[in-house]
This record gives sequence, C-alpha cells and structure tokens, in this order.
Amino acid sequence: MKYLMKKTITLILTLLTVTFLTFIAFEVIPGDSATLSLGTDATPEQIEALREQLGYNKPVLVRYKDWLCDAVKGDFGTSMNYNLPVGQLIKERLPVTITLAVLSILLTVVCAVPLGIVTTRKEHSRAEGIHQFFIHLGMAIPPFFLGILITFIFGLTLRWFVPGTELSFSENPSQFIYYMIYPAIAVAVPKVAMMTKFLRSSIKRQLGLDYVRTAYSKGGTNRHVMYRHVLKNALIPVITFFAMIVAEVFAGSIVVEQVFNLPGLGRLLVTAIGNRDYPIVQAIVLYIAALVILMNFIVDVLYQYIDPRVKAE
Amino acid sequence: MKKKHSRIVLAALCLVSSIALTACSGDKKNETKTEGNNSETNISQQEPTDGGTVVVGIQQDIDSLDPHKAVAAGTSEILFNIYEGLVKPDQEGNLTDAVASKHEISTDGKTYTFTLRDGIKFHDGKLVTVDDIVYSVKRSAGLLDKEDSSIVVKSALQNISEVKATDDKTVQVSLKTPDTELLGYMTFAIIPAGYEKCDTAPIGTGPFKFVSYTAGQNIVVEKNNEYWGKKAYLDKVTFKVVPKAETAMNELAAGSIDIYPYLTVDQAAQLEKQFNIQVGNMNLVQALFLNNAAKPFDNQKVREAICYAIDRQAVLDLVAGGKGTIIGSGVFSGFTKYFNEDLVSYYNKDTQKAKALLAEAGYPNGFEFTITVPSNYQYHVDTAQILVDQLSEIGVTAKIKTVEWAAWLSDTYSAREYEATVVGLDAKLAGSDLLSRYVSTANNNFINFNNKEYDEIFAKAVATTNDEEKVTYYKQLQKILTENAASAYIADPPLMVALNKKLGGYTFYPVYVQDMASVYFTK
Repeated sequence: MKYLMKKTITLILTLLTVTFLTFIAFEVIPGDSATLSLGTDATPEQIEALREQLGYNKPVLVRYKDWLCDAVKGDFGTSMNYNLPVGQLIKERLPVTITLAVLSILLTVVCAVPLGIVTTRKEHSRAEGIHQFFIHLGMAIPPFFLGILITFIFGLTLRWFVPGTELSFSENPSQFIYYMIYPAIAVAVPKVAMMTKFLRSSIKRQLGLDYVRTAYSKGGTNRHVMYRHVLKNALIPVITFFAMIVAEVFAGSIVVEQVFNLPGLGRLLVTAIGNRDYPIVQAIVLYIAALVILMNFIVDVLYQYIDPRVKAE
Repeated sequence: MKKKHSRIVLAALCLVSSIALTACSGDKKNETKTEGNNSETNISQQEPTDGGTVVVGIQQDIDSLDPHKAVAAGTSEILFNIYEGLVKPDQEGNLTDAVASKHEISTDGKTYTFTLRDGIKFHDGKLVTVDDIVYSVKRSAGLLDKEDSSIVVKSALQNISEVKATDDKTVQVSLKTPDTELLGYMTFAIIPAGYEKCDTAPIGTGPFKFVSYTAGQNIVVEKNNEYWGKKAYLDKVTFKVVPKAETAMNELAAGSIDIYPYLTVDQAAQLEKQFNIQVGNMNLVQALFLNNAAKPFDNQKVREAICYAIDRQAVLDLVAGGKGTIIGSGVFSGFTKYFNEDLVSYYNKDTQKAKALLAEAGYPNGFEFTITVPSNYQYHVDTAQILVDQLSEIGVTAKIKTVEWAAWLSDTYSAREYEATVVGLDAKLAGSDLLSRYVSTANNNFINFNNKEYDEIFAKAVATTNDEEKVTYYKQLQKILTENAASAYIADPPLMVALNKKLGGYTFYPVYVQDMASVYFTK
C-alpha cells in the first residue's frame, strides 16, 4: 500500500512537471495563435485585442493555474484553431492511434520473441551473420522511409491496399484494421529488430549460467531447457525494455501517421504545434506522459509477480 | 539446405537494394525529362457531364470556416466555392456581380450603391435580404457594436464609415475618403445577419453547400441545386488535407486524389503520364524582400547590387522548370491594366556592375547576411537556395534560415526583425492592394520602404476617380520601387495542377481561387 502511494505521488509530480514545461516552451517559441489567425493584414492593435480576448495577456503562472484547474475537472479547453472542444478532437482521433499502437505492439511481440529464440539457437552458424545484418538494417531504417517503401511496394506495386482510402472505424472496422496493418509494420520493424537483439543477448547470458548446466545434466533436451528454464528468466529484462518500446511506438506513430496520412493523435499534435494551439498540445502531452508513466507502473507491478526478489528489496 | 537458405537471403538482398536504388534515382530522371513537357496544350475539350465526386488534395488545413476570420490564401481559395461577396472575380480578372445584381460608384468615389439580386437564396433556403448584406459589410469592416477580435478587418475596408439599407433592395456604403477601387475588396462573403456559427456550420450563397468538416482531415461540399447562376457539374467535392508531398504523390498514383494543385517541377514530371498537368500563374509577387531599415540594406547601392546579382530566368529554370513570369516591380503580370512591363528588364544580371556598386557602397569584399524563409513553402526555400548560389558570385555570403510560418509571421513580418526573406505576396482584385504596403506609414510595410514621393503619388492614385490617371500613377509607383531597388523582385511563380484525365473544365483565375463549379467529368 505504501508502495502504491509512493508511486502515485511520483506520477502526479511527473505530470505536473511535464505539463508545466510544455507551457513554458510555448512562451519561448516565437509566434502565437493571435498573430497566426489574423495573418498578414493585421494591425498591432487588432493583434493586441485578440491576445486580450484569448487570455494571452495574463501572466504565465496564472494561465497555467487556470488550465490546471480545468484539466483536473476533465475540461481541456477549446482549440484556438478549430474552435472545438479539445476533448472531442482527441476522442475522434483515438481509434487510429490506439489501433496503430496495439497492432504494432502485437506485431513486435509476435515477431520478436520467436525470432530471438530461433536466432540464438543458430549461434556460430553462417546464418548468424545474416541475422545480424537484418537486425542492424531493421534498427537503422527510419520509420518514415520504411513507410514510403511499404506504400510503394504493397500499395502501388502489389496493390494490396489503396493509399489514401477513407477510413472509418465505426462504419467498416475490418477494412480499418486491415489498412492499419501496413503503417503498423512500419512502426514495428525497428522495434522487432531491437527487441530481437535484446532478447538474444538476454538468452545468451542465461545460457552461460550454472542452472542451465544443471538442467542439461539432468538430461533436458535443448527445447526443454529453453522453454522451461531459460526463457522465463531471459524475459525479465525484456519486460522492462517492452515498457520503453510502448513509449517509442507512440513517438514512431507520430511520424508514420504523417507518411500514411492517418488522422491520429500524432498528426493532430504536429499540426497543433505549427498552429501554436496550446490547449491541444497540452492535452496530448499530458496524455502521452500519463500513458508512459502508467506503463512503467504496470511493469513495476508485473516484476513483483515474475521475480519475487524485487519485492524483497 | 544451407546453400538454399543463403540463396533466398541473397535474393531478398537484391530486392531490397534494387528498391532502394530506384527510389533514389527518381529525382534525376525527372530533371532531364521536364524540358519536353508540353502538357499545357492537352486540356481536354470533351463534352461535360453532370454528376460525380472529386477529391482535391490540399497541403494545409484551412484556418477557419468563418470567411471573415480566415486569412490563409489556401483557405479562401476553398471558401470561394461556398461563399460569395457582393461581387466576385471571374477568370479574366474582372469583378462580376454576385449577391448584388448591380453596383454603382458615385463620381466622387465616396458612395457605393448595391442592388440585391432577386430571389437569391442562402444554403438554408432563406432568401437573402438587405439586412444580411448590411450585417456582413459591418462585420467585415469592424463596424458591429460588439466586435469579435478574431474577425480580420482589411485595412482598405476600415475606410467604410456607414452602411445602410435605403430600401428593401438597395444598400448604400459610404466612405471616409474617396476610393474608387474598394470594389475589389467587396468580395468578402455575405452571410445571414446575426449568424455566428460560420466557423462550424457555414452558410453562404455559393455554388456548393457545406456538408462536413473534420479538423485536420477534410472538408466536404455538395452541389447547391438552387444556385442563382450556372450550377456546378459535380455532386460532391472533398478537399482532403495531405500535408506531406510524398504521401500526396502516393495517393495520386493510387487514384485516391483527383486534383492536386501546387506541384513542384519534379512532381509534375513524375505525374505526367497518369494525369493532365495544367499550368497557370500563382498570382504572387515573389521577391527577395530586403529590410530597407537594416544594415547593409539601408544603403540603396547595396540593394541595387543585389538586384544586379540575380539571374531571374535561371531561378525560374531551376525551380520552376522554366515556367512562370518574370517581374521587375511590386505588381504581377496578371494585373494587365496596371502591370508596368518596362521595368521587367531594368535589372539584368551584371556581375561587374554589382561588384562595382558594392565597392562604392563600402563593401568591396562583400558581406554576410541571412535570408529567413518560411519552411512550409518549399518553392520559396528552393528559390532561396538558388539565390545564395548567385549572390556568392559577387562575394556576398547569404545564409538560409528556415522558420515555421508562425515564427515568420511574428518575428519577420510583424516585428520586422530580419535582413532578407523570400516569400510571395498575393492580392485582392485592386491595384492598391499590392502597392499600399510600401507607403511609409502602412502597418504592413514589412520591408520598411520609406520614400516621400511614393507616399504622395499613392495618395493621389487612390483618390483619383479618373481611370487613366490611376493607371499612370500606379505605373509610376512601380517605377519608384524598381529605381530605388526596394527589393529584388523575381517572378510570379507558375501554378502546376495535376488533374485526373477524366476531368475537364479546370480554370485558372488571376487571384487565389480553386473554382470547382467549372470542373466536370468528360464523357
């Protein structure tokens, strides 16, 4: 219980810091939505009047406090650019971002775990070099380039999907999910490569330990030793890594959403920064930060179940 | 077994590398191909049919659906299909009557009288009344009692002192000072009186009705069957936001986009086979704008040297595939009436002269400066890169700094904290719109041009009711700009549009407009 309290306090403090820093960032970067929305023909008086109307003229701390009080109540304000509630804008884009994230994480796990096991088995063979090559290629390739490549191969050459199809989760969920597989691949490939590499080295480390020798001397087959003993231990550090990947999947999807022109949170965030639409940016930053912290929290709890030693500490 | 394995890997490697190679070589192929591009001529002249839906790709999301709040040129060109003003521009650059069926300007240039068109209806089915017109004029001119500060009031419209309906058919607009060109600004939208929901549910009188808008994604419009004029051919048009050029190219190739304006030369060459490429003008004054108040550009000789250092044809050749129209002053050639052709060849590239001028000005070894360019306009960024190269020939080192549009607006444009910038200026259908910004006291005089003679002539030009005199004045103003080397004027860039081969009727306007009412599917 004490543990949970401590974690919750850290969570709140982190969220406060992150949102405050975003607020400050908007003070520092040039341009605001008042100048933007009045364009090239505005007089200084007009800009000043609009700034007043939008509440820009209050001190930063007061504005942050106002925002915070509303946010706690669940009101993230109104977008300056779209004149729509931020909550609604985010809700409209959640299906895309969540589907993309879930699919990429699924793909990562489904591909990386078997790959990690298979490639460790082939150690010292000639295939080792080839595995290494693909792992490094996978890690080095930027998601946006991969996205373009995937569109080119599967969309334009093989015509397995039509780039730019109008998607709606509520109207046609199967088409929606099918389409999302391609951007998910673009997000997942670098993560698969990273996780495979990580799992490989983790398994290798375990293979050199005493208990493995004991398991073999008891007469265990390769298979038995791997699945019964090694994998269980090798996965512990991978779970930590997995939490990090979840955060990165969101970062990666910001870029991939642009390449595939998907109406997700990432694109909303990028546009909102360009428009200096800080209510939207604040809400999305808060959302991503909360998600990352929550994932870490879940991992911490998971740890205690997998490895009782963690709790003892 | 092992051998087979490695063969598969080898094959896979070959595939990957060949894809990478074709992807990389794309650009070069295009550069050589553009010369033989004569697709301007194959505009389809087939018979139009009614019906059909079209997807238009746009690069930026619209900034507001409220016509009096929108400022981006990319927004007004779309809203043109939904809203109409008392008058509106036609393809030749004339103003034709729209919501008004007749207009009259008093001989002293101080009173404008508009007659309401009979039976014209808003999209919600209600008839337009004089009250709607009075309200719309007041809202656009900043004359409402309770003013929303996010409404943009054009400086020319601030000259309006009073608007009143004299009977149920006639509206009279009175001005503080004479201005015979105000009609060019009367293109602002007429909306229902007291209606404040235009930014979410627009109601206008145009050939298309608003259907839906999804922020950051698309805006959908449908045919207005009760339009007073020539009705649109298409049933539905979707303007789809595609911010990334690569993505747009993929979607065009896949057939998800039918019309895509603002192509680069490379993109046009790439799309040539699958699409009709039509070329028009962007209707911009593109220039290397120099801050006349910042060192060393406060020295006229330095500015002249910059003008002599630039080879404008080379800029167009490299950035626009040789298309576009060279300009020599602050007005683009689309304004045929006012455009001063004599100035086009005033500064021809002359490296020796440029160097001599620099030496006279006290910079025999050149100097360094920064060109600030808004990063969202690839065309201007590309132009700046060519300019850097050309300026290095006279020993001047220019650095490019790309900034976000928001930063450009606040720092470069409003605060005027810059040395030089490359952008394009657009204009309403009034000669004064392009030239008023050089008046020393104008709030949008972002190059800090300061010339007494210019100020005097401009005041006369606006006030005169004699058309011939006005033309002479405007030509004089352009001459002053060129002679003083106010900035290094480059060109009106070409507007290249990719058009689905089944479509016809796409028309270019001398202002920023995407007219979808004229577009049709051919038989």
